[in-house]
Amino acid sequence: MGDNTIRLKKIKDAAEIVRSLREILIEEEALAGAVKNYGNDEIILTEGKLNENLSIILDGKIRLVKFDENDVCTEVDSLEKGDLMGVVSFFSGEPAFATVQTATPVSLLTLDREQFDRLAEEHPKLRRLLDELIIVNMVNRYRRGVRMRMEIETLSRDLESERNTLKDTLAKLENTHNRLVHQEKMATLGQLVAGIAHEINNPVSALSRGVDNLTEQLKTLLSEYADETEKSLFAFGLESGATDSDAEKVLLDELEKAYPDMERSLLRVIARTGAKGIKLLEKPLKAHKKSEAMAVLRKSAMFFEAGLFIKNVKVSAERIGNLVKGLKSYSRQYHTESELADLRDGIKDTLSILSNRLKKVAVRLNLPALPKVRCQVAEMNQVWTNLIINACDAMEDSAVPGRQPTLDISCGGSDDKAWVKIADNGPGMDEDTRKKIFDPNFTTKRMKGTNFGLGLGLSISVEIIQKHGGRIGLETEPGKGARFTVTLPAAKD
Amino acid sequence: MNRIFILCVEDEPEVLDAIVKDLAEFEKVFPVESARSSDEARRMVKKIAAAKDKVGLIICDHIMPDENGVELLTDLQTRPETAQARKVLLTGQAGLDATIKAINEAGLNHYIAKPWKKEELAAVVKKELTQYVIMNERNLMPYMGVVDAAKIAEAIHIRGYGADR
Repeated sequence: MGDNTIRLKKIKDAAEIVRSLREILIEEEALAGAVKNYGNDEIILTEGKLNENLSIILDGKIRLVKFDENDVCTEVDSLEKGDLMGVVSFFSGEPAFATVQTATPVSLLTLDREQFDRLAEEHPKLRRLLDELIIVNMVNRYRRGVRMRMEIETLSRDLESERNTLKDTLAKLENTHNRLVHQEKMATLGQLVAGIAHEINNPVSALSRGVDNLTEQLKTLLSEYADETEKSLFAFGLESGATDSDAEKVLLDELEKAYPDMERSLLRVIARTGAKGIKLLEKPLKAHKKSEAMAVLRKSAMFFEAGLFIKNVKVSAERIGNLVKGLKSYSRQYHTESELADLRDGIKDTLSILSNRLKKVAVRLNLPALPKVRCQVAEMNQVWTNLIINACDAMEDSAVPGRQPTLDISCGGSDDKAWVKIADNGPGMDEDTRKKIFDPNFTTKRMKGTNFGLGLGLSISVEIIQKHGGRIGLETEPGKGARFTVTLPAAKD
Repeated sequence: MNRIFILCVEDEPEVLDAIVKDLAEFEKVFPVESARSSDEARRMVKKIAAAKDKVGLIICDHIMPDENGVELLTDLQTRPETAQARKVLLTGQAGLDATIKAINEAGLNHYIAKPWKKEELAAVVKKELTQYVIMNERNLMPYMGVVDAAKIAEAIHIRGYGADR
């Protein structure tokens, strides 16, 4: 290996090289004039200009800056003692790729091409040193490049991470907003329901009392003005149970055959009076061709129907009354504190409110005694409502002809906890859905007219349950329905 | 026997009593049959067909256990025994979608919202039965007393022209 070969094995520290360089320079007085000194913030070389000089920093710090299209200045590199300046543009002939500015007072050794060539020729040792310096510089720059690359990567990752955090925060915010809107709606709904319930109460009371009084007065009137048959028929009407469709239809058919010239509507009422009634009406029936007998039959039918329709009014008034009671109990408008509650009452109230929704569903209850729970009854009713409606929707969406949708509700408990299980025989959920089902904004409900899921129901239910110190569990497999179990701590008393 | 039946389908017994009672005036000519579920409704349709009678009008509730009213009517629309029958929904709760389906797929002729007034129900029944007999019966005279006499008279008159050709 000759003198002119660059030895890569040993890369000296740049500062050391500069020291050697200085020693040589001191020997070479001719180069004394090549040392230039600059103050702070002086521009030595402008970006884009051609550079004919190679400089070595003997002392001080230099910054390389670039200006972008908006004239924003970015520091792209910094050089210090022992670094070479202008290397790239000197050797390549390309214009300077950055503006060179002093950061501190700087002492530069600047060689133009002529000086550089002469020096290199006359002092091979110097040439070697310069070559080594160039390599050290290039290696350092490369290292700096690599380091900067790593920093960029780290910054990118941090940025990504922050962006994700922001996304999460945004989602949480939206969620909270939706929940608040939902709560507002529930509160307003609760008030509306309570208002209506109170409004209905009065007419319902008048209805019930009215019909009871009416019944008594009619009975009294009848005892004075009606004969035994008529009184009995009125009583049969009052007592009649739900229409026994099939038996009565059979009776009607027989009567139509036996008395083909009589009006079907009249025969229907007679059939309705049942075996006992028909017995009472045997005589006029047999004599029905005579007009007096027909008159008797028509009057008798009226007595029966009077009793029947009064019974219907009573039954209906009672139903309304119970619905209103159920509504008030369900919404608990005036009890906003916790109560010591038997969860079964809330479940029954909820089933009563939802009875219309459950018309197609077979509801099986297994509700043994369970420990009382301290809870906000109206909120827990929201939970039952949500779970039952979800079950109904699931079973409805996947209706299988011949298979009756079934809702099984059971409960139980031990000393320290009470649980309620709500199970359906719907389509069940796959693993994926099961994991996401409690997430806010996740829904499996399709848009069907005004029936669509916001995905809030279950997540709000979960919040309510957790607020009460309880948990909710889910077992489900595709094709095998779903079973939600709500467990709450028993009241300690 | 060629009687034309009115079939009432309603699962709540007290409501069914009320409907049947309101139809009493039509029963002189159009016998009433009742059903408390869609299953029973189908059985009654079979019974009526077996006796060689016809179903002229079906008055149906919507929300019922098992199948709901619109589904039932849609199915009956496809069956020969009931395809010609006039169909009326008497309900408190058919939503828009169900009603649209009833109109488009079940040939629904009229929709009455519960609670109903007797006069309203009677007017609808009269109108629908009139339409049924005009479209399906050769001899319209027997029905004069119960349905819309003016329309029947008009129909007979118009048919008179056709028979002359």
